[in-house]
Amino acid sequence: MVMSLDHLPEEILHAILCYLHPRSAAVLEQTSRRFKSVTSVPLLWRHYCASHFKSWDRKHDILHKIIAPPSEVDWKALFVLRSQTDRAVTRLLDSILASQTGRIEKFRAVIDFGYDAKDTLVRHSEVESGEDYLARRYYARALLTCLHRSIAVPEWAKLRRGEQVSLERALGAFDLFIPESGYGDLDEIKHTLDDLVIQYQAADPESRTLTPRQQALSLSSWLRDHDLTGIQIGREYHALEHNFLGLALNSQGHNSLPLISAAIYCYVAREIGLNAHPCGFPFHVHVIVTPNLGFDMNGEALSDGEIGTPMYLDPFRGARETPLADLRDQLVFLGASETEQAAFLGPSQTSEIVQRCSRNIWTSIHSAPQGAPGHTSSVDVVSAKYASLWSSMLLTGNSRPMDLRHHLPLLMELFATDFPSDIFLVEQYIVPLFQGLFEHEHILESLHVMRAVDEIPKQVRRRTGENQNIRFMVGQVFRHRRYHYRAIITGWDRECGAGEQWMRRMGIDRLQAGRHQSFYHVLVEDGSVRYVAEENIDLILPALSDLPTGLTSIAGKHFKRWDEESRAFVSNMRDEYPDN
Amino acid sequence: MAPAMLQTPHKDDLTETWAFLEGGIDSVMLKLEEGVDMKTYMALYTAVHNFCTSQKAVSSYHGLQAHRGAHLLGEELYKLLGEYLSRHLQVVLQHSKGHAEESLLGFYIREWTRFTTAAKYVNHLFSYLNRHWVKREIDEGKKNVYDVYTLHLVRWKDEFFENVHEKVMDAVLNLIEKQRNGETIEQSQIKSIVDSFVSLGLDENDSKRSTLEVYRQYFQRPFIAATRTYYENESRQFVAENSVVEYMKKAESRLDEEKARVGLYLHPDVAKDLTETCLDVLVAAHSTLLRDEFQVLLDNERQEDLARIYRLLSRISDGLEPLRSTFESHVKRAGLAAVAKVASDSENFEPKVYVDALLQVHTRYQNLVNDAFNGDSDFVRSLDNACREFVNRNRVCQESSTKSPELLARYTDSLLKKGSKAAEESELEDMLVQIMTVFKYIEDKDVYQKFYSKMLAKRLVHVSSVSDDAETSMISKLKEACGFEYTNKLQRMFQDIQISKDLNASYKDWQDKVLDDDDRKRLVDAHYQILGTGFWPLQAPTSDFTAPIEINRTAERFSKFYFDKHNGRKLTWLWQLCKGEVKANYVKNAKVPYTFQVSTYQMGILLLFNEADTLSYTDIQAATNLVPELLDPNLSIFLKARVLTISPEGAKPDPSATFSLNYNFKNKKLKVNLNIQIKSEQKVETDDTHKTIEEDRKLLLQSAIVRIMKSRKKMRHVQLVNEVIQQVKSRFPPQVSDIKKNIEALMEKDYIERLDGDEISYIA
Amino acid sequence: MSSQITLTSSDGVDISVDRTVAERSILIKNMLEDLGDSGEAIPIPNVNEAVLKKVIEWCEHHKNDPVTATDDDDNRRKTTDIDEWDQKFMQVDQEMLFEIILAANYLDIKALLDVGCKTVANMIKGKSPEEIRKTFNIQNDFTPEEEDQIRRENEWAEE
Repeated sequence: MVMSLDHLPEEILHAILCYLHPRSAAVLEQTSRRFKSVTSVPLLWRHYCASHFKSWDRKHDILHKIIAPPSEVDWKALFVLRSQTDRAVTRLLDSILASQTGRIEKFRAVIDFGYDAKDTLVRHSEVESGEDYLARRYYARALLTCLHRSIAVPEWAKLRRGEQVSLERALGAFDLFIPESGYGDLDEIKHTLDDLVIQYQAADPESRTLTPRQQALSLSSWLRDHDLTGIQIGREYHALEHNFLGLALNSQGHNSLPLISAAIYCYVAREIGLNAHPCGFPFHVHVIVTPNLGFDMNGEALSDGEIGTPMYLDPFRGARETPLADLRDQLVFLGASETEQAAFLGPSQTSEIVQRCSRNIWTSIHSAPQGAPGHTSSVDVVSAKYASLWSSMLLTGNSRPMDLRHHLPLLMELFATDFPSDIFLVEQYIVPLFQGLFEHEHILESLHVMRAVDEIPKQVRRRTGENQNIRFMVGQVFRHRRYHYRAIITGWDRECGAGEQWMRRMGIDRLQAGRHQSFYHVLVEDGSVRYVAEENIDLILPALSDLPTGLTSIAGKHFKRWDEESRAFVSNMRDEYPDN
Repeated sequence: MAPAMLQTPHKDDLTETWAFLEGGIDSVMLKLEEGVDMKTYMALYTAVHNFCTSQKAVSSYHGLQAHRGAHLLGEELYKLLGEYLSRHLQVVLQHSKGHAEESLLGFYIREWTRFTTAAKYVNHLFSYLNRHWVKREIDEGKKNVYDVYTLHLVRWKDEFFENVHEKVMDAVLNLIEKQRNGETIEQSQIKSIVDSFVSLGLDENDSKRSTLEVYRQYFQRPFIAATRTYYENESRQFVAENSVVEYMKKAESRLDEEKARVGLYLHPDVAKDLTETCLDVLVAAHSTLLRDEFQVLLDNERQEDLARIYRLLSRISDGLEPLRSTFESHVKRAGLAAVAKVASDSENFEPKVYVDALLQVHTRYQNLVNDAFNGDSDFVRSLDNACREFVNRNRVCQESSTKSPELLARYTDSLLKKGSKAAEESELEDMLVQIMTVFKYIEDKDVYQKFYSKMLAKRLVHVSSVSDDAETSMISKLKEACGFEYTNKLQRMFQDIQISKDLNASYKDWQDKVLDDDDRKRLVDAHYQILGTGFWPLQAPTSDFTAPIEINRTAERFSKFYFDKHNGRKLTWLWQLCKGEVKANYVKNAKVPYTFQVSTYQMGILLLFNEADTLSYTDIQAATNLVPELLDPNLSIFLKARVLTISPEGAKPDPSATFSLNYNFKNKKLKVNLNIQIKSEQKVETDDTHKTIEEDRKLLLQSAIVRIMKSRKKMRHVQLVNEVIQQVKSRFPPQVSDIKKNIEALMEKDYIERLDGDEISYIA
Repeated sequence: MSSQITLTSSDGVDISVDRTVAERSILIKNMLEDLGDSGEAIPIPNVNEAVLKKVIEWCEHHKNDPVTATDDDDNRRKTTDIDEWDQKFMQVDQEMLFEIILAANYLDIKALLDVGCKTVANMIKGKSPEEIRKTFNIQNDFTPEEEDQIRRENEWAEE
C-alpha cells in the first residue's frame, strides 16, 4: 500500500487545513471528492474568518453568529465575501494612489464597505516598504479615520434628533475622532467600562449591603483611589488629553476633567444600581444621585408621595458628598436666578454634556500650552479641533443660527484641507443644518467646487519653454533661509502666482528678486502649507531618519516614498508635474 | 505481524471492534483489582484509534451535496459505551436493593469508588475518541455529548443516583442524628458521600467545570431541613426543663459543634446555610426569652451570662436592638439612684461625693460594655445616652440644670488647689481624666467654663495652684474636648501669671538701680500681678478704699515703672484681692512677734493702730473709706481673733462702738491667718456667676445668628434656628424660645430683617 | 533520574528509551500512570521500527521543551513557521512523512503532529489542483461537470 495524503484520517486533514491559507483550501477542494468533503466543514471556515478578519461591519451581527452552531452559518460564503471586499478595497486604494483625479468617489466606495473595510485599511496603513508606501500609509490612515468618524457622527446626529444615546457612546464619539485613542468602535469603550464594573464589584463585594448613599461614596473613593477619576497632582488641568473618555480609560494615570470623571462614575454607578447622572454645575461637572422611588438615599422607605432628596458628589475629587448648601452658595455667588439654580442642580441631558465636552476641548486647545516647550500632547490638535467643531455644530440648537454660522467656516476649512474624504459626512449631516439659511447655497457651491476640482484632470506643468529655469524639483527638501523650518516642495510657479493683495501683505517686492522669480508650494514640518520664493530656499539632503516622523507621514499625501539615493521624496503628482 | 501483539479487531468492523472493547471494559469495570496488562491496555486503545481512523464511512458521501462536510468517526462507539454503562448501572442498582442504612452507604461508596476508578481508565482508553469525535461534536455546538469520563458521571447520575439518593440521604441523616445524640459514627462515610454528590454537579455549558447544583439539591437541602427539625425539637424540650442561662450554654455549644461539623466532613459551601439555620432555630426562635432574661442578668450583674447573651443575639439580625434600650434605661436608673443616695440639700454638699457617684456608675457600665459586650459601638452609644441623662437631669439638678457643671467645676477646683488630697501627681492626673469623663456628658459646658475660670483666677491670684503642670494638663484636656475658643481665656490667664513673674524680676532690677538707701529702708516687699482686663473674670472694686500710705507709695512706684515700660496702659488696683502680712511688734509677752496674714482692707484697718491704741468706728471708716458691708465683717474677724477688743464689750461693730488694740494677744501659731473668706461673699459670687452665664448665652446666640446670616444673606426662620442650634450645642443646649427672642432682638437692632413669608435677610 | 523503558514496535523490535522522552507521548504517559511501570516492554502495535525510531529521535530532541499546558488550537495555528531542526527532520519521503504524522496522532504527541501538518500544508501552498494531485498522487474522481462547477465556485480564490 502506497501512503498518500488521501489515506490520512479526517481529523488530520482538518488539522492540516487549519494551517493552510484559505485560498489553498479552495484549491485543494478542487482535487477530489474526498477533499471537497474535508474542506466543506463549517468549523474550518469559521476558523478562517476568525483568524483572518478582526473587524466586522454591524450588518453581519458577528457576535451572534459566533455563538450559534457553526453549521447554521454559511461561513465559507462569509469568508468569500470578506475576501472579495478586501480585494475591492485594495484595488480602490491602489487607484486612489495611481491618479490625482476622481478620488472623492473612490473614498466613498471604500467607506461604503463600512467596517468590513477596516482590516484591509489597517493592513495598508502599516506597510513598511514598497514602491508607494508613504502614500499608501497616508491614504489608508485617512480612510480609516474617516471610517471611525462615520461611526461617531451619527451618534451625535441621533442626539440632535432627540433620540436616546447613552452617555458613554456620545462621549466615546470624541475618541473616534482621535487616532491616538486606539479606539475604533464605541463598543470597545463600553467593554472597558464594563471591566471597571467587574473590577469594582470584585474589589468591594460587600457594597450591595450598603445604603445607596454609602454605595455612592464607596464607589467614588474606589475610583479616586485607583486614579480612575481626577487628575494627578502636577499635571496641566487643561491638557487636551483630559477631555477624552476613551483616552482617560486607557491611558496610564487615567487623568480626566471633572466631566469625564463624572461620566466614568455614572456608568459604573448605574451598573451597580444607582441612579446617577452628571450634573452640569458651572465650571465643574458634578454627579447627582437620586434615590429610587419611594426611598431616600439611606435606603429608608418614604411615605407616599414623598420624594427622596438626591445627593451630590464630585468624583473628580473623591469620596466626599458635596453639601447642596455649598453648591447653592456658589450659585448665589455667581448670581444665578432661582430657575437657573434649579437647572444647574438637576441632572443634565446627554446633549448638554456633549456640548460642554466640545467647549472644554476648544478651551483646552486655546488655553493650554499645547506644543509649548516641555509639553507634548498625546492628542493630535487638528483632529481634536475637528471633533469639537462637529459636535458643537450638530448639537447647537436651531434657535442659535449665529453659533452655527460662526463655526461653519472653521469646519469647512479644516475639512477641505485635512479631511477631504469626509465630504459625504458633510453632505449628509452639515448641509441640512443650514436649510433655509443663506449659507446653504454657499456650502453646496463649495462642495460642488471640491468635486469638480477632484474630477477635472490636473493641468499639466512641464519643464519646457519658460519653465526651464525653475531650479528646484517637487519632492526636494529644504530649509527656509529666514525662518529655518524644514519643508518639502510640492509644486511650483514660474512667477509668484498669489494675488496682488497677498503679495503686498507679505512684502514680496521687498525680496531681492521680487515677484519675478520662481515660487514654490511647500509642505512644512509643522503640517502647514506655505508658498515660498526661490531665493529663500536652501536645499538640504537629509537622511530619512533626520526628518521628523510627522513630516514623513503627511508627506504621503503627495509622495510615494523616500528615495535614499537622491535624498528626496518621490512624487505622486505626475498628473500635474510629469517632470517633477 | 509480530506474535507478541494481541490480536486487535478489524478496524472497520463495528461489531467485532465493540465485542473486543466490551470485554476489555468489563475487566476494568468488574475486576480491576486483578490488574490490566499493558498489552490489553494498548490493544484497547488501538482498537478505538483504528476504528476512528478507518475510512470505510467516506464512501458513503456521494456527490457534492456534503454540505456539512466530512464527518469524524466514533459516534457508534460512543453510543455503545453509553448503553454499556447503563446496563452496568442497572445491575448495580439491583444489588443496592439488598442494602439499607449504613450498609447502603458502604455499598454506594464501594460502587462509586470502583466506578470512578474504572471511568478514569476507560477515559484514557477512549482518549482518541475524546480528542477528535467528542471535541468536534462539542465544537459544533452539540448538546449532551461529553468526554468519556463525564459520560460515566452522567450515566451514574441518571441511572443509579436518581434512584437511590433518597435512601442514601436517609442513611446519612440518621448517622448524623446519631452523632448529634452523642454516639460515635464513621464520619469518613459521609465525607465520601458528599464528595460523590459534589462530583455529579456538571455544568451543562462547560463540561470542564462543575457546579454544586446536585450537591445542593440532594444533600444540602435535606440536611438543612433535618437540622432544623432536630434543633427545633431539642431546644423546645431543653427550654422547658432548664433555666435560660443553661439554655444559652447549650445553644452556644451546639453552634460550635455544627461549625466544627462542616470542617469534619461537609462541603464548606454548607457553612453559611447551616449556621443561619441553627441561629434561626436556636437563637432567633427563643430571642424573646433571652431578652426577658437580660434585665434579670443586669440586675444581678451576671457578667459572664450577659456576655453570652450578647454573643448569641449579636449573631441574628436586629437581635441586639431591644437589649440596647433595656441597657440604656437600666444605666440611667442606676445613675439616678446613685445620685439620689448621696444628694443632700445642705450648703456643704461635697462636690467630690457627687462626682464620685456619677463616675462609679459610669465606670461600672463601661467595664460591662467592654468586657461583656465586646466594646460594641452601639452599646457605647447607649451608655453615653444614659450617662448624659443622669448627669444633667438628676435629683441634685432638680432646681437648675447648671448644678452639675457647677459641682464638677468645684470638684476640679478642690483637686487643683493646694492641699488637695491627691498627693501623687499621677493620681491627680487620673482624677483629671475622670473629670473629663463626666465633663463629656455635661450639656451646659459654658457653665462649667464660667465656674472654672472664676476658680482658676482665684488659684492663680492667690498662688494656690497645686502645680503649673496640673493646671496646663487640665486646660489642654478642655481644649481637646471643646476647642481653642473654649480655653482661650483660661490660657491667657495662665500666661499673664507667667509674664507677671518676669515683670517682678525686672522690677527688682529697676528698683536696685533707682532707689536710694532711704527709700530702700521704707520699702514694702511686694509682688505684683498684671491681669488682662478682658481675660479675667474679675471686677474692679465696687466700694471705695483708701489704702494705707505705705501701700500707696509702693503701688505708685510700681505704676511708674510699669507705665515707663508700657506707655498708655491703664492699671486698676484690685484691692479686694490683695493681701499681705503685718508683724505685730506690739504684743507683750511675745518673744518672737506674731505675723498676721491679712487682706489689704484688713491691713488698712490694722495699720491705723500704729498711731493710736483706740479708735472709734467712725474714725476707722473715715480713714479707710470702707463701706459698712466690708468694714463690719472684717472688724468682726479681728474681734473674734481677739486682735482688737470692742467697747462696749460684747457689742457688734456699729458706729457707736470703739475698738482697742489687744496688747495681750495670744495664739498657738506664730503666723495667724486672718484673711478668711466671708460666707455671704461666696453665695453672692455664685449668684453673680449664674447671672453672667445668662448674659454670655445671649451674646453667644446673637453672634451665632449674625455669623450665619452674614454668610447666607437670606434664610428661612426655621433653618436659621436649626443652624444656630447646631453651632452652639457644643456649649449648651439652647432653648428655641431663647433663639427666637434673640432673633427679635437683632431685628430691633437692624442687623437682620424679616422678608415676606418666613424668610429673614441680613442687612449689611 | 529518568528510568529507561522499552518500547516494542509493531514489527517486534525492542527499543530502549528514557521514560521522560517516551512520555512526550500522552498515550504512554497515561498508560504508565494507570498501570505503573512493570518493567515489561510496552507494545506499540501501530508503529513499525523505522517510524518509531524517527519519532523517538524527535522526542529526544524536544525532551526539554515546555509541555504546552492547554491545547490552545488557535494559538498554535497562528504560525506556519517550522524551526530549522524540525524542517530538516521532516525532509523524508512522503510515505515516511505520513507515517510520522499518523504515529504522532496515534501516540498523542501534539507538537510533532503540528510539525507534520505544517510540513504538509507548506507542500500544498501555492499549487494548482493538478499539481496537488500530482504531488500527492490523488485520484480525480469528479465528473467534468462537477469539476467545472467547483472551479467556478472557487474563482474568488484565484489571484
